[in-house]
Amino acid sequence: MLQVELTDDRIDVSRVLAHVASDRAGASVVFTGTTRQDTNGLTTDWLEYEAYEPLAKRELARLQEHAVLQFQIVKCSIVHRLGKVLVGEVSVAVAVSAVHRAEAFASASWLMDRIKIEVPIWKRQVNASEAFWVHPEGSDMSARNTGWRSQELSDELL
Amino acid sequence: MSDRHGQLGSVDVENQVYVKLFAGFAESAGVKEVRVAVKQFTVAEVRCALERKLPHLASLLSRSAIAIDGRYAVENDLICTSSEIAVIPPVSGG
Repeated sequence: MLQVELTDDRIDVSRVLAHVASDRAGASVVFTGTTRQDTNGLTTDWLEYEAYEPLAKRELARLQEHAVLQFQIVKCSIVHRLGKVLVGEVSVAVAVSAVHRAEAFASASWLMDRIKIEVPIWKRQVNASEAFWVHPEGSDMSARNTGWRSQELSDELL
Repeated sequence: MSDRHGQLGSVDVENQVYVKLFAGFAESAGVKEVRVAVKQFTVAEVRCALERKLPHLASLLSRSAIAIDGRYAVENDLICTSSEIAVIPPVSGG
């Protein structure tokens, strides 16, 4: 029902979507994130992704379990690419099936928002003149060591 | 100075722990794993030890989480010499 994968290979989006097929579902949504050419005036040649795999898989699974409770989704598959991802290639695919479309759209959006701020995966942006790891200025992961997450997620379920 | 895995550091064996580094934190440190001496086996002390070892990364460390054995830790969690410790700088997946 819930599937997580980190892969060095190209993501087969149709396979990710097929994984959430269910007779119980009236809606399926698949979101794909792709390497964008232009970011803040810089032309990106490619991105490189790195993960702390044990924790990344655990966090992705935890987010899926939360989505089941919050959105009553039927199935979910998340595949994230690692290594070099060229412009136009898919870096992440999130597929969700649900009884109705509202829950499918909402849960896919929620999952992507959470992936971008909670899961230990990092991108390195490479262009003709430089390469740099992206660590968003406004992000403070140290809060994860104070137990904020469980409270925040519990509140959302109330 | 030991270089078993390309780590930095020279410390008392009984008080040393290994810490995995990732992304820009590893790039700025110049290694993927660092060995540090701790006075107490707590997450908070690991932070202090990393600050002593890598003072130029203090700012990024302050915005990073510490993971123990593949889970985000709480500051007063205890560690041991066999714990898998990792620094998780601000993430950017997706």
